[in-house]
Order: sequence, then C-alpha cells, then structure tokens
Amino acid sequence: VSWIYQTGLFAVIAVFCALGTRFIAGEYDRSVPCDPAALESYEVCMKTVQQDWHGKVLWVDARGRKDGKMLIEGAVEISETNLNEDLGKTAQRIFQAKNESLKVVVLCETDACGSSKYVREKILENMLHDQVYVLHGGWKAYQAGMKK
Amino acid sequence: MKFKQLTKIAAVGSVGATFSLLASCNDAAAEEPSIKDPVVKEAPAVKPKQEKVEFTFEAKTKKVLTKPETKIIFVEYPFQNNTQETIEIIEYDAPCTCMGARLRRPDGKQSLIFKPGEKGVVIGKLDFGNFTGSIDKKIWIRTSKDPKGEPSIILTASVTIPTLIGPDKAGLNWVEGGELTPQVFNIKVNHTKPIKIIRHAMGFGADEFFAYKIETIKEGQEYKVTVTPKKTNAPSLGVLRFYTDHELQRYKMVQVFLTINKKK
Repeated sequence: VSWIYQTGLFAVIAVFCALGTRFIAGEYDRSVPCDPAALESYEVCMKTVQQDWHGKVLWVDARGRKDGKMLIEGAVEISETNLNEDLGKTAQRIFQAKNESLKVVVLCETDACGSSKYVREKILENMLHDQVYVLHGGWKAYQAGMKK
Repeated sequence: MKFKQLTKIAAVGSVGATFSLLASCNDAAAEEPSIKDPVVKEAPAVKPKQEKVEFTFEAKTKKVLTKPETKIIFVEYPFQNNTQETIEIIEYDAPCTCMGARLRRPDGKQSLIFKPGEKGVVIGKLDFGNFTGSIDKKIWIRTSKDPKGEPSIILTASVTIPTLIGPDKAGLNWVEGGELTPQVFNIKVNHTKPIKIIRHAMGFGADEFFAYKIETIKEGQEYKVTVTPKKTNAPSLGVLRFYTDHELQRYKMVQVFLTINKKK
C-alpha cells in the first residue's frame, strides 16, 4: 500500500512543481524565432503579420491535403500538386484581396517544405496579386502566434 | 510535429519496428523504390561550412527528370558511417505532405544506430499528383551529434516533371481606365506527339470584360490566342481555360488568368 501512497505523493509534488514553474516563468514559449532583418525579401515574421499588419491578410494554406489537418479560418488552400485546379478555385479570393489592399501570406509545414515559396511564385506569375509573402516558420509559427 | 518525433523515437525502441516511419504521403501503399523509371542525375555533394557531416553520402542532392506520366518518385541516398564513432539517427523527416522518408539498411538490421563502416539508404518518396515543372524537396536528418532542432544533414531532391503543353505567358494584365489594347500569347506543345486543344472557355463570367480569339498555328503543336478587353472601367478577373486531348490529367487543361488591376 505504501508504494501507492509514495507514487501519489510524487505525482502531487510533480503537479505542484509544474504549476509553480508555469506561475513563475509563464507558459512555455513555443514561438518561432524570427528576425525580420535576417529574412529574405519575400518572407515575413508572424509578429509582423499580427502587429504591423493587424492580422489583416489573406492566408494561403500550402500544406497540401491530408487527413486531420487543422484548418486556418478564412484561408484558401492551394496545393502545389494540384496547382491548376486550386488556383482556379481561389483566384477570385486572391484577386479580391488585392483590390481590398490585403496582403497575401502563404504558409506550409516548415521553412524547409518549399511549397509556400513555390505557391507564392505561381500567384505572382499569374498576376493575381503583387504582395505575396511566405510565413517564416510556417505552420508552427502560425500556431504559436495565434496562441498568444 | 512533436507527436511525430515521439512516434519516431518510439518506433526506434520497439523490437518489431520497421523503418517505415513517417510516410506523410497519403498513400501508404509504398511501392518498392524504382529508380529505373525517372532519370536520376547525381549532383556533387556540397558541404556547407557550418555543416557537421558525419555520415558520408554518395550525393546529398539528386536531380530527377521524370517521365510525363510519373506520379510517384523514389529517390535513394546511400550513405556510410566512415568515422571511427558510432552514430545514431535521432530523427528524420520530410517536411512536406507530398514527400515521405524512410530508412533501409542493407544488412537488414532494424536500428538507427550505425557503427563505423555500417551502411544505410535514406529513401524519399515523392507523390506529385498533377504537378508539372521543377521543384526542390528536402529531407532532414538529425543525429546524436546534433543539437535539438538543428539537423546537420539536409538531402535535396530536385525534381522536374516535364511541361508538355503550356502558355508562354502565365497571365495578361491591363490597368483600370487603360486602353483596350489586345494582348497575345501562344500555347506551345513541347512533346514528340501532338496535343490538340479540343475545347476552350472563359471563366469567372468575364465575358463582359474580355473577348478572345484562338488561331491554330499548327494543329497539335502551337496555338495563338488574342485577348482584347471590352472595357477597363473597373478591376476585373477572368480566366481562359483550354482543354486538351491528352490522356494524363496533368496535361488536360491549360489556364491563363486575365486581370484588370486598380490604377496605383
């Protein structure tokens, strides 16, 4: 019986430690480091989107189709593997954003995925918009930014 | 992401675990690698200054030129531990939904720990759907020697799927209040067999703003399209779609966007 009490005691201590850490240090910082000065001209930090642009952008989700994917509210989806069809479906939204002076921000899973850069190039090439950026840090940066 | 990493680590520890972790690509019906299908050209391995290379790869970048009908591509990156130390792969990933990565060992062992002299092969599986053109896709590998979040090994597949038919301009653009000047583009076939345009249409209800005319320069080889705006009094978007007789989905439709943009 004593081991049950011991285990319970350790669990309670662990919970108190965790809560104490959270109380003292705050929530774990999941944000993606982003220095605007170090970015490519076509990249943008989540902080810039939220603070300087007040979140008023059209999000383009280039993560591709997969089951269980969390969706971004108000975003349009363009997959590089289905580009023609997706561009056809979303072109009006993107062009409308241009006329409303909303910038377009494309994101994919991470910086290494390359899809957002490719989709950005295609939107520009097709002259649907002229202010198209890639979110530095991708989906991870978006999630961290939205939790703040 | 974290969940994926934990899954991978758990997979390493379990006895019966195979190396087929990841598989971000949708179809898990993994075919055996078929390098015979696409033409794979090996580019010389480039060693970035800050990169700490422990495994020796035959090539870290592979250029792949596929056949027009290819949908799934496997790219192999053989490597060997040529150091005097044992190296463990902690995690690896292909951060794109269209790409998956797995690891195979020629010795049949199911371990991510490589003793000196041991070999392995990283296999990237790319599912390109209806993609045409060129794109780079990456696989990263973090070993026990790397800090968390800083994988030292980046493998690149530089893939080109031929564009058999396409316009010489991606879009046509006019300015609000501008002149009703016609603009021309050509649709050319870049293939040994002819591809005919069998149907064409204007989309987004843009007939009000644009008129177009298609002329056949050489049937199945080249077409000339002239677009003239009917008015430029307001911003407008149109799309011209040309449907072909090609049997593959990725070459069945060519589209060109037409825009009348706000005057800046």
